[in-house]
Amino acid sequence: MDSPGSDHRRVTMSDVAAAAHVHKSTVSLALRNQPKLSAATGDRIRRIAAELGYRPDPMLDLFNLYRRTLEPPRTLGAIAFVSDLSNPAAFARSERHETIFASAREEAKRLNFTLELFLVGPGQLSPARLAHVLEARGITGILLGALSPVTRSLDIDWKQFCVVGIESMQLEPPVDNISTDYCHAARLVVRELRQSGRKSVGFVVAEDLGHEIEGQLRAGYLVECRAQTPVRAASFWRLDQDAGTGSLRQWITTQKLDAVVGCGVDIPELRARLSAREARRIGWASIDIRGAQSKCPRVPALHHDLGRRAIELLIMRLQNNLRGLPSNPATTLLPVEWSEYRA
Amino acid sequence: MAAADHSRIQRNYDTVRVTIKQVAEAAKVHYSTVSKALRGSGRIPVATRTRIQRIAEQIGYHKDPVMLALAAQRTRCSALHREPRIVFATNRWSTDDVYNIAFMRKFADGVRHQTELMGYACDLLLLDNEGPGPAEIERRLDAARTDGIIVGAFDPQLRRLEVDWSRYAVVKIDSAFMVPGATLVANDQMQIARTAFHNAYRLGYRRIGMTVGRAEEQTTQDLYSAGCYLARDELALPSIPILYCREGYNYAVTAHRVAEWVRAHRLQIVLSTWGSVRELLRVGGLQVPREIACMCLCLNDPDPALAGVIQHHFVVGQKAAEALALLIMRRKRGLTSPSAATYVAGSWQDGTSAPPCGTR
Repeated sequence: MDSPGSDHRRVTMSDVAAAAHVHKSTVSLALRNQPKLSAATGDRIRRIAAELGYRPDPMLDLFNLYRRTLEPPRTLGAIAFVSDLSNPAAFARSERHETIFASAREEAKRLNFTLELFLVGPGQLSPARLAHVLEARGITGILLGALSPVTRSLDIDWKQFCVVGIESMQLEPPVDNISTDYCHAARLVVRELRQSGRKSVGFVVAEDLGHEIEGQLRAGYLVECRAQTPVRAASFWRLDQDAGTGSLRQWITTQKLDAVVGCGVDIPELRARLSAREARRIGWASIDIRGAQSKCPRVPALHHDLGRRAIELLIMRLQNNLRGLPSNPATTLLPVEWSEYRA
Repeated sequence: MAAADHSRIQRNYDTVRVTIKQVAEAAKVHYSTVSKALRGSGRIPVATRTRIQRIAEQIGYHKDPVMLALAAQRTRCSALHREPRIVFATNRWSTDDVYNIAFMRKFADGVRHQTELMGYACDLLLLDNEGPGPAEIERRLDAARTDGIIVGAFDPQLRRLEVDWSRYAVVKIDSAFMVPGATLVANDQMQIARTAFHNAYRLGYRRIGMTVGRAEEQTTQDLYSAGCYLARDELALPSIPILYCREGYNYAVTAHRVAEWVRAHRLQIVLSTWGSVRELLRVGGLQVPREIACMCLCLNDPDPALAGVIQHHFVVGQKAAEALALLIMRRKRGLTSPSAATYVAGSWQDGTSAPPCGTR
């Protein structure tokens, strides 16, 4: 297994340029599938490169990334962080979006990219306009930053772009996503509450939580509770802001719950809807999604990891020019952990 | 000693990296001497060479692929340069089972396609019972200067792979029972079961049963079951117990167990991880689709006679290579627990084994 091919010279872009009678910068454009080049020229150069046996050099890419971290800042390009929140103020108010964005930007900076926020939706950029702006600026990398459940599609010609979604599984056609492992989070919480003697666990879900994420939570709950027959799916309750204090109390009573898990909801606010005695009787836990301080045992949100991992994946795809939508979408689930509450 | 081993597994190569200058300091020589010693140069006496090599190993020096790239650049892409190398290992290739070979080949092809696209070299490591022992395998991995290993869908019944995982970037395909702490890439069994239920429902079926392998469900933490429970909840379907079958158990006995379960619960359709589910039901005395419809949850290729969900093994291979390249990019070797997992969605395929309910 001694490295074959280690004693002959690599085929470089200059070799391809000489064979194709073009400048090596044209070869570079062709190999990166840049739309600036006509399709015919691009195809011709890519064919010649394949014939000569040109292969990209990931270690040289890595070295270049590394070298740039030593030099004074000179950015390699911008990456678009796309959000559908209605305005910059709403974005700044959302701890979830802010933290994901900040960690993604930090990681992008480390690798000498810049990350820019673009808002799409009513009153903001239309998807078509966004695509136009990105094309004009030569931006080919898009991170979809936790789009809200109501955004079910973005009318963009994806062939030009490398794209990675962060918890945007509702999108049609689907993109590859990085997400918290919500199914396992639900299993973990049920297991922990059971171990502390709780028998009947209910889930309160934020009103704006996507059905895909709620589905993952439900799946985890159902598979963990399958020993109980019949499994009680009514143990999920979608928080409605208009509902009064009565309905939460009623749900807890009719479902005979002794533990409540908040998913993306404010637990102190939930507690306040009950009498002090009722609130004390319930075992509380939280699956943090918005990053609110829950003051109870919880599965902490992974906003930092989500931003960092999504940028890493996107930059690797940019380096390899893996553009367009996947034929078979994949979701990468980041591991969650249980965290006891210490006052 | 135990504590030192532990720290080696946990080491994050991003932050803690031993350089040859640190080796030089420890060995009280100039760093150019260390460089020569580690390259086995004849200009350094053998005793000094081995002393420096021993010290380098003790303080945990590893060659840095990024620096090797620098060396290659300086010598204008000539002889010194090497491609980063990964190994796709499996113990299943050499079995006679045609089905195993078909999907293993797709995993391997996906890995190779993606690694070549990214400029990595890919070797195959096929383990069988007569093959090389652990020491010999490790020697070969060293000789090829392997950066990463893909543990490719190992069969739990066959030979395991044992190496010092802390030295490599590691990704596994399926193989949930092996190398805890390695990044996992697999088919999205939860989505696959859910998709099958939703399509059975769309075709008009209501009494839907699912039968899957017991060992596989245990190792994947019940992913097919989770998809089944979720779909039943979403569609308000009657709750019919999942039938867990023993893999590799007597075929005729299994067929009769399945048939009994079908009759006991008056099922209209069976969803199964058996590739030969049609045949299985026939052996059990049931006619497909006249008496019972069926779907396969793990189709390799479209089959007009068998409805079900196609699992995209080639794409799983591609994603495994991508995940490994990400680890190498972060210079992340060894295992971390808990670790991330990537799941590839399956896609629905109609077939004559499940016609619209009522047209049978």
